[in-house]
Amino acid sequence: TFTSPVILAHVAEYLGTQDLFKAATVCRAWHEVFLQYAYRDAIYMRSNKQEFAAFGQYVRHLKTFTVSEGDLDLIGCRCPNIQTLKMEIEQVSPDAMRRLWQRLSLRGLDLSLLGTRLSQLVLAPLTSSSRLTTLSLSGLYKYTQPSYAHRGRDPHLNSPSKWSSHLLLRVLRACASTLVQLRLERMCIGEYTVEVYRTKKQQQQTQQQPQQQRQQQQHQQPSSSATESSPYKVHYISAPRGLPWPEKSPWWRLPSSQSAINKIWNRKDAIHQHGEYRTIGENRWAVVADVQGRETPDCSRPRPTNQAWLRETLTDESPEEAALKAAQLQSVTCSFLNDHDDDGQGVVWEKLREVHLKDVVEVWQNRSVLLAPLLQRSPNVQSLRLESSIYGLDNLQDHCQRLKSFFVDGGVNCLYPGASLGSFLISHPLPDIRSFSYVNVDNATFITQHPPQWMERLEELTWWVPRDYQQKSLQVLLASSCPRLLKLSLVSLPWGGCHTPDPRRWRCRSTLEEWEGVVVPGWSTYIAATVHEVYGAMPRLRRIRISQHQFRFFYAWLYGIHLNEIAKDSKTVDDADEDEDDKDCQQTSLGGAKDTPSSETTRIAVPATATPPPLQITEGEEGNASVYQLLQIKVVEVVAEKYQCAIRVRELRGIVQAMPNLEALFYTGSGSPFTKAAWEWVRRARPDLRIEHQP
Amino acid sequence: MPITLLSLDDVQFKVDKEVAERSILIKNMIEDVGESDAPIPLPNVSSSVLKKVIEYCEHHRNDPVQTQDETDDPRKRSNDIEEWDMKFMMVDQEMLFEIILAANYLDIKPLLDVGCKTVANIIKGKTPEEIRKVFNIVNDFTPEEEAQIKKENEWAEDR
Repeated sequence: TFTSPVILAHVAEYLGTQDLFKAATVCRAWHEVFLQYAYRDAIYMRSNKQEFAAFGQYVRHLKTFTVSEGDLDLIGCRCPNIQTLKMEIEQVSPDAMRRLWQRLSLRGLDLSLLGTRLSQLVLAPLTSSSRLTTLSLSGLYKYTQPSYAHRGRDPHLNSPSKWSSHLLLRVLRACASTLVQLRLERMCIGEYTVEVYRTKKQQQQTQQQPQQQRQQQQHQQPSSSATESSPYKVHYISAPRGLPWPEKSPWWRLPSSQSAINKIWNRKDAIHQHGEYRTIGENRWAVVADVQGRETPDCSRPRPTNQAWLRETLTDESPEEAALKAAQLQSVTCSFLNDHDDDGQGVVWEKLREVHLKDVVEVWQNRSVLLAPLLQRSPNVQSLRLESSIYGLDNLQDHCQRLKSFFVDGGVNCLYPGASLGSFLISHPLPDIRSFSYVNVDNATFITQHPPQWMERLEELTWWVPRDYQQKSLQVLLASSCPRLLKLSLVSLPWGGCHTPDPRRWRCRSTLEEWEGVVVPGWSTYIAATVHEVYGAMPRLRRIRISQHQFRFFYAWLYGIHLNEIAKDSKTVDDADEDEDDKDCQQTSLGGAKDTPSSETTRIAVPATATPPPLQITEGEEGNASVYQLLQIKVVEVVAEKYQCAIRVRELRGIVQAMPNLEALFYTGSGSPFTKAAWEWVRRARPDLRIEHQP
Repeated sequence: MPITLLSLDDVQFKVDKEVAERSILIKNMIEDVGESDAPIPLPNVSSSVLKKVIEYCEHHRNDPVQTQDETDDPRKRSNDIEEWDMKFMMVDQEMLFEIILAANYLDIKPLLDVGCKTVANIIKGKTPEEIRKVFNIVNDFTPEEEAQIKKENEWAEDR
């Protein structure tokens, strides 16, 4: 039936207010979805005071609400208890924002401005909020548009990165004393920037010149230089330190100045040779590509830098005072820090425990200019996550000594000076390391062939196994190292892995308590053949993660049913089957009388006994049928209730009976892992079993 | 280059790449992994539903891609359904639901929209009791709860 919240939410978009309210009266599932849409639809019609009152009744108790601009005033008036606000803004009134901030006692703010330029209208009111503990800003510029064209204006005064930095600085200052978690992502700082402008004189000329005449002129002078044929001048081109010149000009999105940019770009070697290359300020390099080869005077002015404003934010006027203010910061996620703070004085981030850097280019002249200073002034950082970019780890050995968690995700494969990540990892002791994640990195084989000593101490490992050979290298690694692992997570592409890991040869097989298997739908086909070997070889295993598709086959694994039988059965799921489930639900409970299937045996080879057959442990005498002792199962990627993979009563009964110690069953995704009848059965038969949906 | 799709019940479908790529999920998969002869497993879609989905994608293979603004702004949406789409959606409720679920899973926004519009058109103008009857939904409110909800929503009926 139509009870999936995701689908109902889509349907709600096409209904009017009255129909929405009627739909909200149909049943509980519909009520939860349609009511909020009904009220949301109603508040667009603001003429009726009654609606204000009704809206207030509804939202008075809410703690979290996603709003649009149109809701802001009402939220501010009617929802004084809201503590967390998540906003996706395209256009917003500054007055509405200001009123909102004043009325709410916000503790957390998640502000997404995708596709919108950061503007004073949006962020300025935030500077009055001093109670924020969590601040998450993202999408301040379009991530894929790396450049800006400012025409007829001083590019320094109007540089987007300048005024955005300035405003963010004010926002951070305002909440620096309370901020615990800071997340700034997709800021579009740290990419190449080009600023193009035309002088007033050129503007006037362009305006006065008839279009036809200009076209004729351009046609007659096809070989003229970019600066001659274009009304725009390339003022300068700058990029973060260490970022190499791309092969092609990255500014193809620039509209009318594209041609000029490309021509300048193609002349970059000449620009270098002729000395029209200089460093601007202390933090950026630039190519000065003035029209006539002369420097524009403003180029020499130091530009505001990202690191500078962050430092300024947290230091304020007095470094001591700022250190106290910043002392609350415990977690920072950034994708824009790309400049070096040269003075290295002032703030010490005592409480900073977690650092997550993403899309950061922080290498300059073969040394780390961000990571090393950041860790230097954050003596208690224990968790470091590096993602998708270039990092210099050359001077980090001292700071890595205290790391307990080290995560390397997504394309971190280029290190300076000349060292690979693999060689760094095997040559540093990392004495306190307990958790290590190595995902989406190509040179994993290097580590597996030379497993570093510190892997002997690892308790948690996440490994990337997208291909067959990497699965084999994982086998090699776990057979030779990591004897103390408590938790192992394997990550793969949707159809990546096709080899079943063989825990029987792992050194950690007797210590592993948690296994997050590869969440690959098709993988269950392969894993099923040796499921008893896989689980049976890990006697202490207590928690597993599994996909819904795999969970669907769990029953088959437990009872040794061939997968083809289950597949055949899944084709015939129909109403009659659900009726049987209902019957099962009514007539049976855990340990109940009805254990012998009757007619359904004609469609599926359900065993006549409710007791699972004993496991056949071929190796490792201590293997103790750990699958039967599981305490927690987490089913991920549940897509829809009563979908093909939904667990039915007889399957759920088999699983729960096989694992009498099972304490909790978690699931993620948009749907339900069980049929309605299965839900009812488990609530009655195992009321103590925790079943929770985890977003 | 044809792409092979593998349904839940192991039925293979060969479709043109441009047809398969009406599904953002499949498109992303192909981009992530590169072109391959290996079939793309779609473990959440049965063959009967996948056949319908492919039929839809074939028919709309040349449609322009919706812009983000068009897809996101609810005020720009209308309940109008093209004639072909309306006939396409003339299926039993179980199949309609499966198609919507598959469209959601495969991330085929136009198909999801058509499915949801169809459901919305069924709901429109009906009383809660009529809706329950049409969709075979059990009223799981207690009489007291139902009365309370109706009372709270009374103001909306006068509008």
